[in-house]
Amino acid sequence: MPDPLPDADLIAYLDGELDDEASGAVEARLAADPTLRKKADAFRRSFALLDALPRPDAPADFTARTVTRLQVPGGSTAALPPARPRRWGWLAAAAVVLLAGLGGATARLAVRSGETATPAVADLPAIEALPLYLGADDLAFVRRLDAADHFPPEPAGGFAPADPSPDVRDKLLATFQSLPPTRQRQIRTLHADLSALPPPERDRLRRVLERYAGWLQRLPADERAKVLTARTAEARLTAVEDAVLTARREALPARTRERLPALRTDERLQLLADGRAAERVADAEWVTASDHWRTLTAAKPFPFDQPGGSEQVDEFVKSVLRAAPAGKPDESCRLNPAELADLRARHDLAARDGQWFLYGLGVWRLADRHPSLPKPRAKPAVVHPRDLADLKLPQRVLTQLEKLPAVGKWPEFARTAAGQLGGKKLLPVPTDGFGPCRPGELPEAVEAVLAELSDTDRKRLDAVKGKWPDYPDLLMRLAREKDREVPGVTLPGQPSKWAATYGLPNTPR
Amino acid sequence: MTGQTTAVMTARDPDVGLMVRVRGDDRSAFAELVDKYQHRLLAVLHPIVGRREEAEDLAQEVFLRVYRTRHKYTPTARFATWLFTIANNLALNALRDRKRKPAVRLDADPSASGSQPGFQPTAGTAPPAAGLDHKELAETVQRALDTLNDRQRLAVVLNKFEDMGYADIAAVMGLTVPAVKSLLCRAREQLRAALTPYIEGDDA
Repeated sequence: MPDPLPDADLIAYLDGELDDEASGAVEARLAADPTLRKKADAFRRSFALLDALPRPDAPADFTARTVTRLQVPGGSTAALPPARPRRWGWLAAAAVVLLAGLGGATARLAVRSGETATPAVADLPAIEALPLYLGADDLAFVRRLDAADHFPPEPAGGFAPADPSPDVRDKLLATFQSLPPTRQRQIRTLHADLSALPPPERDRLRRVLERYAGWLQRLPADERAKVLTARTAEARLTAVEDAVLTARREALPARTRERLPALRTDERLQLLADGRAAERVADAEWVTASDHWRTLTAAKPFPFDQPGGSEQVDEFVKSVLRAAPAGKPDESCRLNPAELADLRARHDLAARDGQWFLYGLGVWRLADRHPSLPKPRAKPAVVHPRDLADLKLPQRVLTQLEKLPAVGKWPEFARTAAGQLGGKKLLPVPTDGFGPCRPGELPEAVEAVLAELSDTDRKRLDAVKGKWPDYPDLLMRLAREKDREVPGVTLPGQPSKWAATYGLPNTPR
Repeated sequence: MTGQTTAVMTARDPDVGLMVRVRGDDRSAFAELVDKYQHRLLAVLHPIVGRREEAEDLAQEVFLRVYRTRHKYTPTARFATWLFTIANNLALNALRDRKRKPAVRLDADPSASGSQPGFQPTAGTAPPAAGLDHKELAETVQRALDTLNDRQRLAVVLNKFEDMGYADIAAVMGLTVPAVKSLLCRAREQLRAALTPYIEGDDA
């Protein structure tokens, strides 16, 4: 009786891995041994059962999706070289917003046309630049945009898309596929026409498209939809011009706006030019935002990257700026309606699209525009004439104070009331009673800041003890010099970090 | 690598020529390779990771890795060997990560998922394969496959679906041929034990 055949050899025989001699030996043993035959059969048949496993085919767009995810541009399909050092900039974010704005319309169109086409690999450069083309018809349209010069300047590095994140690529591809075939053809043609231009013109027109895409992203959703879904190039240009003019008109103060129809043409043009200047400041803000594109799309900026950072900012907005996230603001709200609407829009963008930078920037600027002061430790803050009962003011004065627009707001009311009463010499001024103006009256967390002061600074502060609002004003200035957060009064975290994150070095402020 | 070797390798395996073009940053050649190998790669990765979406993601990662490391490619072997070497590494990494963060399988009975040792079909009570509908049979086979360890599973799947010989499997997995032989032997014994009750007409 020979030694039993090792299973490994039997399996290697079944797999065709044995040489002729070894195979012959195994075959001889199989011929002689029914048990071994049965075992071999069980090995063979159990292995054959693996054929029952599902063998899914890759989806039809697998190749296209994979190729769009290549991180390195170049190769024979990259027909449109970058105008400048490539950078995805916030165009990645723009793509998401534009696609959202376009979504409904394209989906409807695609359903109606009943056609979907799998894009070819040759389409990929056009698809990667899709955000630039979504609002454009053809080369003639781009030339007319160029001539009109409606859009804000681009940031120093340009917006050129190169390496969108994988999910943005997937969205771009999905959007391209959802477009009706005629529109797909139009975009292909536009891309090819643009690529065929002499480099200087090609690059200039491409920059126009980049600025246009950036402008579109910031347009209110309804106006953006009007532009994106216009049926003809002519209608689209009209929609663009309407939106530009509306934005300039709305940038004007309400009273000027009302006067607008009565003005002479040159006056009206001048006013709109002034509006354009204001617009440039806002544009600069977006340019800065684009410089922080990573924070727009990926990591959260300071202080949202800190544990509890978002909550602390929300708390600052709620308790210091007194801006409720929704609903009609009460009289304690320190923001004007436009500021409040802007802040809410930014908050929504942050919560919905992760655009934390824009929210942080908005909060930072509002905090700068509406500085606060520490509230009293032991009693309610003075925000209404009735809070000044201790001063025993005549009724006539109280009635006047009730008319102040600052009623309800801390520290605006206390500051204005003290100024008015002082100015009218109704009180021995400046005085206390309006807010904390000596150690012991400040909230404990603010006293901690006091304790950190140098002897010199403490002496400076002592010199204005009891004077409102000089004492808290000086305290806030000293804290700022020390780069110190004043809890419950300033933004959470070190002021220098806010400035480093949100400072706009080239922007008129 | 001399141009002559490249020419020889290309003559033996035209995909080597495609990969050489990819090495020269030719994206259309890359697209051709993806087109050509996507189904084969998915056929190998799907039974290993078990979930279709995960297999697709992983296949995409494999291709992207091929592209990113294209400058390191030297045409010494068949292109498929290089591709599946990358697939082997990424799949084993993914499975290791998954064990670190265990997730419930969505498309299989969770009580029998992953490498649970509890899969012990009882001969006599389990119906033969012909009595199962195709989906049940596929689930049964997948569960049997899941009882193998990751390396056994990879070797079996390469052997079965890529029709790879022991030498190629050894190259892909960084093992010796005798090691592959014994790895496959243990895997096949385990599969036989798990699936014997389902083999029609088997009276073992």
